[in-house]
Amino acid sequence: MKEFKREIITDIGIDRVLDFLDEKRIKRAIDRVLSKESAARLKAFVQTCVHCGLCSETCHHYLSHDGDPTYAPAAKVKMTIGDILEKDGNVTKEDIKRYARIAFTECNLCRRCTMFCPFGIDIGYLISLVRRICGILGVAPQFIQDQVYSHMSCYNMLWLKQDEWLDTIQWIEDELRYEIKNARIPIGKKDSDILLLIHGLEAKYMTPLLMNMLKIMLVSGVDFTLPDIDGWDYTNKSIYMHDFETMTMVTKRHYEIATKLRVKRIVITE
Amino acid sequence: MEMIFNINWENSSKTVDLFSLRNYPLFYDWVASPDGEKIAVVVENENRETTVWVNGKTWENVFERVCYLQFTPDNRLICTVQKDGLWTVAIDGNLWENSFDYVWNLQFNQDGKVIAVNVKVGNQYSVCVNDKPWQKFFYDARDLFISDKGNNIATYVRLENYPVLDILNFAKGMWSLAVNESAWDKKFISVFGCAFSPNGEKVAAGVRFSNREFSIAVDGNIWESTFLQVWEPVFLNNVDVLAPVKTEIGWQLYCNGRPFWEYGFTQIWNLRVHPAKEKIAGVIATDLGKWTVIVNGTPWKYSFSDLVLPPIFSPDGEKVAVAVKDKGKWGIVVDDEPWSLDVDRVWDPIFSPDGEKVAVRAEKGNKYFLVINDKIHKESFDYLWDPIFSPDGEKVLLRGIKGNTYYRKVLKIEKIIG
Ligand code: SF4
Ligand code: SF4
Repeated sequence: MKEFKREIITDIGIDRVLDFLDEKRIKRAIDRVLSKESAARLKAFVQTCVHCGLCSETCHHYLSHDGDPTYAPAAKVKMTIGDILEKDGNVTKEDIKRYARIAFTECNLCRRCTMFCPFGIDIGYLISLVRRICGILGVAPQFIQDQVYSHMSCYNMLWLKQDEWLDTIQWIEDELRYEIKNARIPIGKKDSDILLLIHGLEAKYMTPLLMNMLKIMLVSGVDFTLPDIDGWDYTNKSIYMHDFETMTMVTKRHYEIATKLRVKRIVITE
Repeated sequence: MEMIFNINWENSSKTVDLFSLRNYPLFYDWVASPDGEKIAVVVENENRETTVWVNGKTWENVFERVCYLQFTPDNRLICTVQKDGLWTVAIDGNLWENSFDYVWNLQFNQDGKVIAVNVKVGNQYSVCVNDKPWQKFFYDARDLFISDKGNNIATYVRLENYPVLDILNFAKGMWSLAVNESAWDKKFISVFGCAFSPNGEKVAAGVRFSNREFSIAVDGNIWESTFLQVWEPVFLNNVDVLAPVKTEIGWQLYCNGRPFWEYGFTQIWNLRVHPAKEKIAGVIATDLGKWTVIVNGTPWKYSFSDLVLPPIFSPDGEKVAVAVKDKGKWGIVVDDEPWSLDVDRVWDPIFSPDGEKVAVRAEKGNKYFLVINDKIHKESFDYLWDPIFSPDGEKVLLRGIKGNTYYRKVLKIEKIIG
């Protein structure tokens, strides 16, 4: 196989976190994911691959790197999960760094390759296990980690405080009154038909987008409300680290708000 | 359970004309008092002067904004208001002396005597209780919890002000729980599911460490073991704490850090306790999309595909009722017996004091109905609040809006269930 050669990129979420890790912790995370959490299909998938290469041409990473075989889906599995299994989980920090680079930046889990694999091998699933192992170790790009930490405690991706959320909506309501007479944006209104959840960015940096969305809701005359507590952001960045714990917390919160306000349905923007 | 005071059960009906509200270009956030005597709504005039309208009369003060309008169990009307740019709390039109840059999460305890809000002053966050601000401020404060008796108050607080993207420090933890001004001496990645003991003297919460490990902290002391994940804890009595925790055998119920029910489930959450009888009810999934209720370790035989909401004990703790959603349809189940009710939406069931009757409001075809023991009352409304049982369980107080009229009605239950 062609040599795995990459331009050096530094990211404290990967390089610096590795300084705090030791091989025992790495092995523990690998055991948790590969022995306790993964389905039996893990080994079957890895063992079934006949390296036919049919999947290669379907991967945009492979194509955009001029057919460099180290970007081929089967190669990326071999260099990560395959390597871990071969070493029985006894891998080094350098290995983890390589896995993280592949799993977070060279496969975006789109599963296009699976559609073309004669055995239906789920490459996206296998790479997602690598993301989960890295995530448990805290090894992930800094920007993803930052937003996931925010989700863990604030249920939104941008550390927005509770008063900032409420104040933003009240300010948008004031602005909308220049265009819509007596515009009123309900927050935490019980028994509405619709609970509207929005994208975190819309509340912090892209308020004109949110304003447009709210304009549509108001003019259409539907009975809707925004949440008045944490859980208004429908994004769930933890999916990128396969942090199921945060994923479930955030999703659970959305349903708790929806049932507390007893809305008929949840509608999301974007 | 909310305590209801001084309800007139003899005078059977009362109406309030809502027609005059047409003089206001905007009115919103309807609330009815627990005794049914008052209906209130926020009103705005053309100049955006905002105030509160109660039974046809408005408060003297006008404000820039009125939020969180609600009645306390003792029938006082409370809300947060913005006046001259500053925020405070109004109780029956009277403002607290203290005002703040922002206030939110207006809450009260079981008898309504303790009223509290989260507050912001400059860039500092805290709590104000019955017009007395805490002396201690934090970098952030989220959510507010008041013990039933109102003796203790808690809020999640941020104890470090690391800047955005400072992930190496985030990993050390910066969140804690502040109880009456003092924060626990430990910092976590997150704190959630705050719960007080029935007497309000102890407080528990779920806590998160790095490496995706979780545990339960009680008064700041962490259970010995950590878990793959935990959900909100609940007090079994004034001392013992229960929590759903994820272990290698699935989701299990633990008490004080040790297994309470030996077996595991696909999911268990929404625990509710009847403290006097120390009975436990919760929501479990026995498989994907198979949700049901478990009472003292025994699951119900029926399961539901979409939702099972938190179970509700009868006052004597002998019965459990719950709202469910199965294949897109809402329903009510009492002691594992689903009602035959066919409606578009239901709210939470309410037990009569003796536990013999269950009342619920329901919506069908955009009309609201009262339902008692699976029998729909014939009269429909444009909107209904939750019904309230009389202490002898013979009558029910109905509060609703039909057309331009608010109705307070006391109905004899035998007339509904026959
Ligand atoms: S799942 Fe990954 S490897 Fe497969 S096509 Fe998508 S990006 Fe390429
Ligand atoms: S198409 Fe399937 S069998 Fe062939 S190399 Fe790709 S993953 Fe392996």
